[in-house]
Order: sequence, then structure tokens, then C-alpha cells
Amino acid sequence: MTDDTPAIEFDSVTQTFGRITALSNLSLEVRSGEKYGFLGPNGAGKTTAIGLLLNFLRPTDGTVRVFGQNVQSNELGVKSRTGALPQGFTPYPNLTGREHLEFACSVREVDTDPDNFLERVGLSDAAEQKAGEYSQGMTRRLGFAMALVGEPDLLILDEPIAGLDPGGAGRIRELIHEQNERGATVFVSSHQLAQVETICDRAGIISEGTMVAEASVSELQARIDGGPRLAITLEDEPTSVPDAVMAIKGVEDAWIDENRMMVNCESASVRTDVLVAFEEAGIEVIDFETERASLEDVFAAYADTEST
Amino acid sequence: MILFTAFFGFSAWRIASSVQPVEAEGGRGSRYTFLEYPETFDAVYAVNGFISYTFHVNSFVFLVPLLGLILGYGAIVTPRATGQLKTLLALPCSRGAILLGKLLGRGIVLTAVIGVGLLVGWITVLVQFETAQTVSFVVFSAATVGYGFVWLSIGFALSSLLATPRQVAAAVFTVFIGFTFNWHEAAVDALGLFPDAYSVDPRQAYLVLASAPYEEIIPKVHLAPHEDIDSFGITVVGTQIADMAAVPLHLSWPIAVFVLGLWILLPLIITYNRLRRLSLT
Repeated sequence: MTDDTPAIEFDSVTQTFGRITALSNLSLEVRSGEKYGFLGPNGAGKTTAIGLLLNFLRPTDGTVRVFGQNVQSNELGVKSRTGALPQGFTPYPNLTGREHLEFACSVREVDTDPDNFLERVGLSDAAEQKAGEYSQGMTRRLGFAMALVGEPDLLILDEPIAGLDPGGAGRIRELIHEQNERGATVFVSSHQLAQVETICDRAGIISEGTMVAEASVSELQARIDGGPRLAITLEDEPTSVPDAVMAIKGVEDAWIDENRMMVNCESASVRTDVLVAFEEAGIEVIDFETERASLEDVFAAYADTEST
Repeated sequence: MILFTAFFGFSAWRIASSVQPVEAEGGRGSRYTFLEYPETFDAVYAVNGFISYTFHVNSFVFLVPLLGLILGYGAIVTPRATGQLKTLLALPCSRGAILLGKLLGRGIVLTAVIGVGLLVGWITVLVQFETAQTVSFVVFSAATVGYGFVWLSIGFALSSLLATPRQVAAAVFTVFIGFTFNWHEAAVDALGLFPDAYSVDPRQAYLVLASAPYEEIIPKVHLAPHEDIDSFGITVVGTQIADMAAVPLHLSWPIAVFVLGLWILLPLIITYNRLRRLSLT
């Protein structure tokens, strides 16, 4: 293996379940040392792809390789270099947090003190507690701690931040960066763009089992920042969209959503024009906020780019 | 499992304390033909009483499969349904090691529960009878544990072949009822394979092994527990049936060991292959 060997490689992978196609001809490459975000709405095929990486599933067609090794034929070889937090990580309810880590250490033949891992994810106080009594967030952190055992070369994390409080999420983000700095490749799936932004360098966007786009996170941000959405609260409940607003160059669309006026702008600079237009039309603006585009909007943006 | 252990112990006590030897030249029990009255007044009847259907739900032939299936049926399907199998497989754990671990863990519980029953049985036999053959009881005990592993192994296979705990429970129920009401016998008879094909029945193999140490007893070559439950009685038949003592090779104890071994191994091979190909969604 050379340094150029990708950490993860999906080579034209298709996965079907009966009549349902979960992944369709997916090709993907994650370079060694990268922090890669795998983005997509629920049901897009993210967990299926992770299932293939962990050999929970066998591809209907195509090949999945980790560090150049076929995952199917070298399961143990791959897993000895990989730490994973699968979706719906389920601990053994009658074992304590420490016992879970002891087990992970013994499987990986690691001498490190299990408490060290629990401390890193903030579970020291719950080390003696049975995992069946853990909250959802604590369970995710326990799963994350188990994934860290043995300093794996690759971390595969399925929605690692989902269900965590802000403090817990921050801690996990910090640990992911730490792991990456020591040389680990990180593969994070998420349906929330904001999470991937704070963790990853590069992201792939998957929708309906197909890769829609791949870009660096900064490119993604630029695309989204180009088109903010204004949510404006008016003194009087709006009944129709003022013509003056629709006439502004750079306003893509405007509509009434419950008691707020929503305006899609082409770029951030249009926002001021919109607010001025309301003022000039004699409509008092009480409050406004700028919403970032949702992941679905990003998909739509990419889909539009492709079709034009 | 504690209740099951208690019931197993109670069953062994009830059987060993109830069995009376045949006071005649020869006789016939529900499972065995007694060729002659034993010279020593030993525990042979009690030992073979443990596997007589005469004792209905107390019979080891009834209880051991139930225990094995109960312990085996959740082995794969439960961690698969809860997601714990993913937790294990996210670590560099080989699937063979996972299967071996589950077999060891559940096998230890199985052996412990059967062991309690056998121990209670042995103590009762010692109290009840003047002489008791230790070696014979050890052979019987080993055969009983082996028979338990057969059902544990069948439980594992069912657990790996079906996708949900409910489906596996239904399959276990069907298999258990099927064996209790002798669908095997019906199939063998219908195929015209009587009595030779009985040798592949794990129960027959168990009966052969349990009686192997006793020269004065041979197992009946066919099984009909539902009939025996209704019509059990000890009947003097005389030594003319000694001709039957010439047991054919396929009903001899080495073949019985082989048959039990196969019944343990084949379901485990099926389980391992399923575990290797399992789709965890």
C-alpha cells in the first residue's frame, strides 16, 4: 500500500433490497487523512453505504475497499484499522460503560485503561452505571468511545452528533478533530449541513442513492451563502406579497408562510433592498431573520446547475 | 431459567423415586424392552425412566429439547433485532468467534441446568436403590448433555434463518410440537423407511446411547410417545424377544454418537453460513 491508496473507495456500487434501489452506481473516494462529510436527507442511502463499509451488507454490484482492501474478503483486516459508530448503536443493557470499553480493548488487544476513553467522551461519572440506564446521548457517546479504542486509522461515524446536547456535541467535534490531527481519516454521515460544516473539509451529497455533488465545505458554504432566505415578521399580518418586493432585482421568490413573509434572495446584498422596499411601501417590519438554505435547497441548487 | 432448573430437578426426583423394577423374566417399558431381570437390583430402571414418556412433562426427552430450543432461539435473531450484533461486528470480531462465544455461553447454562437435574436424579437413585452404576450414569449424563446441545444447535439454526424473533418463536414452536407428536415417525412411515430411518432421529440416537451401558435393555426401534402416553404399561413378554438383542449396526451406539454429533454440527454450520451472509440493515 502506498500513501496514495484511498482510505475509502466505492467503485460503481449498487445496492438493492428487493425492488428498492438504495444505492445506484455510487462511486466515491476518500483520501487518507481527510475529514469527509457524507450528506443526504433521511433515506438517501447514507446508512446503506456505511453498512457496506462495515460489511453489514454485501453490494449487489461493485466493490467497496478500505485502505485498498476489499471489505468483504478482508473483513477483519479492515476492521482492525477501523473504528465505527454505526447508526442505532445498541449497547448491552446489563453491562456497565466500563465493561463495554474493557470488551472493546480486549477485542482490539489494547492495554489502555478503559476509563481513559470514558473520560474523553465525558462518561467517567457513569462508568459503573449499566448501559441500559444511559440516555440516548450517553449511549451515542459510549459508542463513540468504543470507536476510539486502538487509535484506528479510519473512523466511520454515522450521525455522531445526532441526539447530543450542545456540550456533548462540542466534545465529540473536538475529539474528531483530535483524531484527524493524529492522522486518522474521518468519514462522517449526517443529514444536517451545519454539522458537517463544523467537522469536515470535504463533503459528498447523496440523494436517492446517487451522488449529487462533491465539493469542499467552503464551496458548499459559498453556494448557500449566495442565496439566503429572509423570514420577515410584519406588524400587520400579511395578506399578499407587495409588488414592490417582487419587482426587486435579485428576489427569486416571495410568499406568505403563516404570519411571516418569506423572501428568497439571490445574494446577501439583496436583503437590504427587500427591507427598504417594505419600508417604502409603508409596511412596518417588526423583526427579520436570515435563514440559511436547507440541505434540500442545496440539492435543488445542484440539480438546477446540472440541468442548465 | 431458575424455574426451569427447579422443574428439571423436581422431574428427576419424581421419576427416580417412582420407578419400580420389573418383577419378571422380561418386560416392556415405554421406550425399552427389558430382556431379563437384572441380577443386581440396580438403578437401571430409574436411569431409563428419565427418558420415558410415561412421565409426560417430567420426561427428559420432553424437557431437554424445550430447554435447548429456549436457550438457542434468541442467539442470533435477538441481537440482530436489537442492533447488538452491529455493535459486535463494528469491532474486529470474527463471525466464527461470535458464534463460538454464544455457543459457549449458552452451552454452559444448558449444561448447568441439565447438570442440576442429573445431580438430583443421581442422589435420588442412590437413596432409592441398593446399587447404582456410576459409569453408566456418567454415560447417560454425557448423552443427555449431548442431546441438549443438539436442540441448542437447532435453536441457533432457526435463530439465524429467520428475520424476526416472532418468526423464530413460531418456528421453534412448530419444531417442538412436531417432535412431540412425532411428525418424524409419520414421515418415515410414509416413505416406507421403517425402521431403519429412525436411526437419524436425534431422539432415537439419545435412547440408544442412554441404554448402551446396560446389556439387559435395548431401546425399542421405533418411537410413538403419543401412543405410549395413552397405553403405557409394563407387560411381561418373555425372553423370546432376546432375538431382538442383535441390534443392527445403524442402531448401535457408535452410529448414535455420530448421529448426535451430526445434529449438533450441521445446524451450527448452517448458523455460521447464515451469520457470514447476514444483511444487517
